[in-house]
Amino acid sequence: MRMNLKTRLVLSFVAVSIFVLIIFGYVSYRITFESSIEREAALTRAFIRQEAVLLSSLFADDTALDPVHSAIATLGADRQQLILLVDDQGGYTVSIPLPDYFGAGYRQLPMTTLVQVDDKEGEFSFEGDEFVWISATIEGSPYKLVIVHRLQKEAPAFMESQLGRLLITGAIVVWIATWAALILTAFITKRLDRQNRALVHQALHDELTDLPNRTLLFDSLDQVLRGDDSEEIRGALLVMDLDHFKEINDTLGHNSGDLLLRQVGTRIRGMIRKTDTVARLGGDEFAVLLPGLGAELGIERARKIIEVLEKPFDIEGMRLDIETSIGITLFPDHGKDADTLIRRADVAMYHAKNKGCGYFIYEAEADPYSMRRLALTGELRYAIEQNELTLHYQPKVDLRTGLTTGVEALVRWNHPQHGFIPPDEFVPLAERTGLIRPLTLWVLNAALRQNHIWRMMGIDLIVAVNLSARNLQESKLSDQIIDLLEAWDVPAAALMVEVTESALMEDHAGARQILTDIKCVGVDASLDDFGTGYSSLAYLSQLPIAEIKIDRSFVMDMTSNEQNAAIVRSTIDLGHNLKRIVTAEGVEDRKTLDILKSWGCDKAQGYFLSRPLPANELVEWLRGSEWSLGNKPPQLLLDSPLT
Amino acid sequence: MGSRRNLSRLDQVLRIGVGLVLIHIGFIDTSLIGDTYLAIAAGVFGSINVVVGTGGYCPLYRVAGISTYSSD
Repeated sequence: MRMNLKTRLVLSFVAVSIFVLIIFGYVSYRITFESSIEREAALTRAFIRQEAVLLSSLFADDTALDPVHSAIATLGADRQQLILLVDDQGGYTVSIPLPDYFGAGYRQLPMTTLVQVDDKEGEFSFEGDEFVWISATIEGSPYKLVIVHRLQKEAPAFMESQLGRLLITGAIVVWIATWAALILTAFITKRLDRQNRALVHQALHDELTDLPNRTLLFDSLDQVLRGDDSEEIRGALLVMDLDHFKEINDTLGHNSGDLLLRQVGTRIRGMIRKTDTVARLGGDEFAVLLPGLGAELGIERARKIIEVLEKPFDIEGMRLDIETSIGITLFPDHGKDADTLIRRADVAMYHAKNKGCGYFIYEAEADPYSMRRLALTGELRYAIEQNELTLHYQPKVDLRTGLTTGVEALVRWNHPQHGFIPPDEFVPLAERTGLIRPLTLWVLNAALRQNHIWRMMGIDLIVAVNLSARNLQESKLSDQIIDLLEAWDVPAAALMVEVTESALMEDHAGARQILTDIKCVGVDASLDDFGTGYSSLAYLSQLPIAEIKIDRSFVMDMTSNEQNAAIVRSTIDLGHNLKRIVTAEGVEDRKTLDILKSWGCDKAQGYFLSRPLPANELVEWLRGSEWSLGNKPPQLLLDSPLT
Repeated sequence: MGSRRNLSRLDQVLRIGVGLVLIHIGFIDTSLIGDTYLAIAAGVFGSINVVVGTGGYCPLYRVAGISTYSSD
C-alpha cells in the first residue's frame, strides 16, 4: 500500500515530465523548422531575383531565341528550377530540358498566370510542393523570362543537429525530473507515513491512558488464538473494573477520575511481561491478556494486580483507596474466540464484584448467558404467549385495623421440564432480552383480570404489580395501564405499581415522568426494597410515591439486630414525615408484627401473615384468616379461570 | 560499500550503459550534439552515472529511501 503510493507518485511525476517535454520539444522543433523554411524561401527568392536580373541583362538586345536557349542550357539544369521564355504573344517555351522531378504534370502548373504577369514575383503550391517564381522582361527583346523554383521540403541539414540537442536536453530533463520525483515522493510518503502511523495509533489506543483499546485487544487476542500451529494455544484473559469508580468521578470530578485511570494504567503496565497486553476497554474497565499462562499463574497475576492497585493513589494531593474486581477467563477452556472470552471475563468480573471476592474465574454455572439461560429465554417468550405463567398474591395487612387492604401480585413460572423457576432467575433474563415488556403487560393484564373477578365476588383489594427498571423507560406504559384498567373495568385506585429503589436510580427523569403519568391516571406507586439502594432522599421526596416498603432484610431480624431495628424505626418516622404510607416486608413472627404496630407502621406483609397464594386459595384465606377483609365477607365463589 | 549498497545488478548495468553512451556523445563524438556546453553536461552526467553504477551505491536513493538492492 505504502510502496504502491510511492511508485504511483514517482510514475506520475515522470509521466508528467515526459509529457511536458514531448509537447515542449515538438513545439520548439516546429518553430525552428518553420522559421528555417521561411528563411530558406527568402534566400531562394533573393537568389532567383539575382538570377533573373543576370539572365535578362545577358539576353538584352538579343533577338534571336537560340542563343538564349543555348545560354540557359549551359547554366545547367538545376533540379529545382524551371526557366520559361515567354514571347509577347503569350506563348512560352520551357527553356531547358524538362527535369524529371517536375514530372509530366508540369504542364498543369498555372503557366497562363505566370506568363501573363510582368515584373512580378510570387509563390504558389502545387501537388504538395511550394514554389516561388519571378518574371523579368528582357530589354530590347520581345521575350520575358520566368523562373520557377521549387522550395526545399525536407528539413535543412542543420536541423539534424538541432534535433540532437533537443533529444539530449530532453533526456537530461527527464532524468532530473525523475530524481526530483523520487526525492519529493520520499518526503511526501515519509510525512504521510508519520501521519498514518499517528492515526493508526490513535485508532488502536485509548486517548486518556495511551493503552491499547478494545479493538487492539481484540486483534491481539485473535492473533494469540490463531497462534502458531506448532504451539499449544493457551493463556488467560483478565478483565477488571474499579469498584465505586463512578462515585469517585461524581464526587471528585472527572478530572480526578481521569488522573486515577491514568495511574491505574501505569501501575498495571508496570507489572506485565513484554508479551502481555494491557488494554482499556472503556470507562473504568481494563483488560490484561496473558498468553501462555494457565489458571494458577493467571490467578497469581490477578492477585498481584489487586495488590498493586490496593496501594493508595495520590490524586492531586488526595489519598484514594480503590478496590478492583477481576474476572478471569482461560483459553481455550472458556472460549476459542475473542468475543466470547471477553464477554465471559466480564461475567466473571461482575460475579467477583457481587461477591466482593476480588477475582473470579469464569464458571458456566454462574453465567447468565449460559446455554440453559439462553434456552430459558426462548421458552419464556413461549410461556408468556401461551399463558404458562401464573400469579400468586401475597396479602398486605393494615396494622391499625388488622384488615387486608391489598395484595402484591408475584409471577410464577412452572416450567414443564425444570419445574418451578424462581422469578429471581427469569425476571433478570427478561430484563436483559427485552421480554420484560410483554412480561409486565402479561402480569398487569392477569392481575387486573383477577381484580375484576374479585370485584364481581365483592372482594375489594388493591393489587400491586412490580415494574422493572426497563419498564420505567417506556413512555407508552401509562397509556397501556389506562387501556387495561378500562378493559377490565377496574378503578385506578385498585391498582398499585411497585418500583424498586435501584430501578428509580437508573433513569431519574424518565422514571419520574412515568410515575407522574401513572399518578395522573390515579394509580399509586410504591417504593420497593427501600433502604437497599443509594438513592438520594431529596430525590425520593420529590417523587410521586404513595407508599414506602421497608426491605425485608431489615425487618426479618429486627428483633435480634438492634441496628436493623433502628433502621426500621427511623424509616417509619421518615416515611410518615414525608407523608407516605409505610409498609414492612418480610414479617415472619408475631413479635415483629407487634413491634411494628407499636412503632406506628401502617402495613405489613410477610410469611407470618401469609405466603403468596394462588387466587382461589387467597379467597379461602381471606375467609378464614384473622386478617380478613374489612368489608362484607366474600360470597361463595365460582371457580376463577385463573386458578 | 557493502551494507550501504542500494543498487541491484540490473540497476548498475543500466546506469553504466547509459553513462558510457553519454560519455561517448559528450566527450568523444561531440558532433552528435553540436553544442559544447550541452555536450559537456551530457558527458559529466554520464560520468556520474558510471561512477555511481560501478559503486553500487546511489546517495539520492538513500535520500529518497529507495533501494533496488534487496529486490535483486
